[in-house]
Amino acid sequence: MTTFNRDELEHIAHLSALKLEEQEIELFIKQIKQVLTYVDQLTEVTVSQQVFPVRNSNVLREDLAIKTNSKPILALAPQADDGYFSVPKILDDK
Amino acid sequence: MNPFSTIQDIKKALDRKECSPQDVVTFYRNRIKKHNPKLNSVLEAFDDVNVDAHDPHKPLSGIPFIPKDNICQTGRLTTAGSKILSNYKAPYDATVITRLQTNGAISIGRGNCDEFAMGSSGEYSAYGPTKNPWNLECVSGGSSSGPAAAVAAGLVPFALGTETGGSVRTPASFCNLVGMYPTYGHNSRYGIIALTSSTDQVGPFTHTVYDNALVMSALSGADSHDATSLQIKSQDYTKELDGKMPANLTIGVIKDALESEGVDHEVRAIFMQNLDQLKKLGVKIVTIDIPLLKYGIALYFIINRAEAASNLYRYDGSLYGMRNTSATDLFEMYKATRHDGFGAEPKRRILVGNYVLSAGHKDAYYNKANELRNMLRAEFEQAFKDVSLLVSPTTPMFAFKIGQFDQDPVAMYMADYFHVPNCIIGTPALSLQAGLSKNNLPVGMQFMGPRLSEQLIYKVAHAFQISTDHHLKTPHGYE
Repeated sequence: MTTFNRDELEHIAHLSALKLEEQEIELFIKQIKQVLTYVDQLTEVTVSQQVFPVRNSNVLREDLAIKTNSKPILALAPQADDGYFSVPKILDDK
Repeated sequence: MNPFSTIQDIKKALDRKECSPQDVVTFYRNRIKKHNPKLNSVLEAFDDVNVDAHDPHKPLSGIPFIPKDNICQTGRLTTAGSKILSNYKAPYDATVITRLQTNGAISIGRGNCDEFAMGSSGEYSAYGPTKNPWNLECVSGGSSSGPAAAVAAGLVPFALGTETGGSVRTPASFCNLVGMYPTYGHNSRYGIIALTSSTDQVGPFTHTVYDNALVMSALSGADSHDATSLQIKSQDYTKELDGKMPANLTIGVIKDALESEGVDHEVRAIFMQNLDQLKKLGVKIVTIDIPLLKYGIALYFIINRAEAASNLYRYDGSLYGMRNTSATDLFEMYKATRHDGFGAEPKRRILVGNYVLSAGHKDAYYNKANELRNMLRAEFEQAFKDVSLLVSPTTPMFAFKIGQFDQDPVAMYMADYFHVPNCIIGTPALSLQAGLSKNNLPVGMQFMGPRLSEQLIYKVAHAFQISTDHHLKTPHGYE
């Protein structure tokens, strides 16, 4: 049986940039345990091969600059200011 | 007009000037207005579409369709079924949209789907579940739930879904349609909101195999905007659809389809009748064992969650989509936005994905899954040395009740048993109508082929389909 506890969930939630509600925590621990227990069946199989997720070969093109209009992109931003995306502060005031 | 007309039928009527493209668009828009409220398959029907005069040289001229709402359409909301993108208007068209428009097709709306295409039922949309036109208490199948239900109810003649592990074929099976997952890279992913980048593909929903081949032909071909699109020329798959089953054809039936306890007994009985039909058409059927098939869902769980966690990291409230404005620093803003914007299923998948990718776990889960992926591919390649195609039920079950798997999300994914494996290895498969249960619910059968065997799959499936009448059955109440 896979162990997956509250500390691990909180660590993963931090890595995932995800705030969790108290009532989500118990449920997610239970459900994620179910998933991890299910995938644990893969330990039955011995593997020996190298990893090639996709067999296609690289497709290359000339590295040319293309003019784009940033206005429609900035128009989608939750907050934009003078041609820049605007977000809450990153650095501390101190 | 018959709402269940094929693209072929509508094209003939347009070519003979029996109706105009505007008549066709108006007809289907009225169908959506009348029937969609009970189905919730169409999130938005456009009132302002440009309808050009009919051009008989374009294969899809005047044919309306809807794409799944994770396919970008310029200036239109593209929500991926998520609250976090509830205000996102795509600034560009997906390549598949451009290709269909170039061929004359007209998008008249957006189709509901599981949030970020995560789900097998269509219940995980932030905009409510899609109902199955065959039984409104049942799911339509997901994640391309809306596009499938809309075609099945005759609200559009065809639709586009996306599939990463069954998301076209499950709803095709549950709604009595033809749905195709092509070879990975066959269709461009440019403008498709990413879930599992190494398996995502666009596939059409249609009533007939012929129509499906017609749409797939329009979609295919290399795209400079997608480095994983294959360097193949677009081709017309309908040319070889002469209705004849290829001579001396051997098809392998997947052993699990015959023996696994997970296959519903009525699904198996229907499947066996169809195997007999294939034999009548001169096909030699042999049994093929793919021993790693039973690990397909576990493999998919890992690969899909890992890629989803990475792909969904971009939704953080900074560049587009919704933002939680109460947070005072950047990381808190990310966390609060993602808390507010994602539903439970994306949260679960992100958490599992980052767990299997995190230090101390990556070798045991993600790296092992990718190694097994190669072993699974080798088993399929071995099978295709002995047989031209493989066949199995598309889903081991019929459409289930809405809410049936609420308490056990893992159990729901058993629906994906037969169609996840070929997505993991990027090979094509087509689901088509196999028959109805005693309770009047449809189920599909699928043909799987080796890489780039689309032409053979369409030829065999077409010859099979026209020898049956399963595809002519339509749900009651939508005449």
